[in-house]
Amino acid sequence: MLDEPRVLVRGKADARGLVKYAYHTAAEVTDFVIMLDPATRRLTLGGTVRSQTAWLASRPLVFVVMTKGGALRWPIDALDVTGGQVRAQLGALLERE
Amino acid sequence: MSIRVRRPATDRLELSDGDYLIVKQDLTAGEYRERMRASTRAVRVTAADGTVTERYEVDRIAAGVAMVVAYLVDWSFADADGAKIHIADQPRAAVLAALDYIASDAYMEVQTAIHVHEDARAATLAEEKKTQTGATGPARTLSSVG
Repeated sequence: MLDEPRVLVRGKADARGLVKYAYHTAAEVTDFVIMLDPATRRLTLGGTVRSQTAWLASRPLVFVVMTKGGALRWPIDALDVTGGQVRAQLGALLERE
Repeated sequence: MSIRVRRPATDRLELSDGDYLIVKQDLTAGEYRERMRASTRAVRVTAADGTVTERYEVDRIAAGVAMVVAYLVDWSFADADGAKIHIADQPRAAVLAALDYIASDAYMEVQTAIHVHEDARAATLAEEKKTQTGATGPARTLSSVG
């Protein structure tokens, strides 16, 4: 089952992922998982939207995960928020801060 | 119809010793309100007849920190071991903690720089408004014809 999507990043219980438009927080995401599809090398984000703002309609957006040493950032290529759940296609990891 | 939303833009403010701040150029209405909320404190006032009312007054010390938190996006500051103090995208509480953690003279330099930035932006926006609206005097009216 090598070609099955695998979990790349899973947010811990208290982890907070942010959808950002420049420095504005467009949405806060909890219970998030970033999956990597080995076959297509695509990254997919799934999670629960805790809060969202009008900036969510702006582009470009970036998904940010805080780490102890800074932050991990991925550009968001496509985004869908339905029923409090977010699903997004992410680009390659941006330079680590 | 006029555009009432500004694209987010930042300015880099140079500090002493090669340090710098990245600050928001302007605040949104929500950010401004949050700043005002964080700048005030509730005061309970008891009248002669015993009626207790609540008033809000400006807390000058809190107002300075509220201004800094509202504008500050990132900085170049490092801790005593030389490791960067991360504030970008951090929750408000973490930024406040970082501001408490730095040396008092460093904090005052940050607050002063942001205050100067805010004054400069206010002047720029006032100038832009004047240019957009054109003449500053009253509009001319046509004299009656006929």
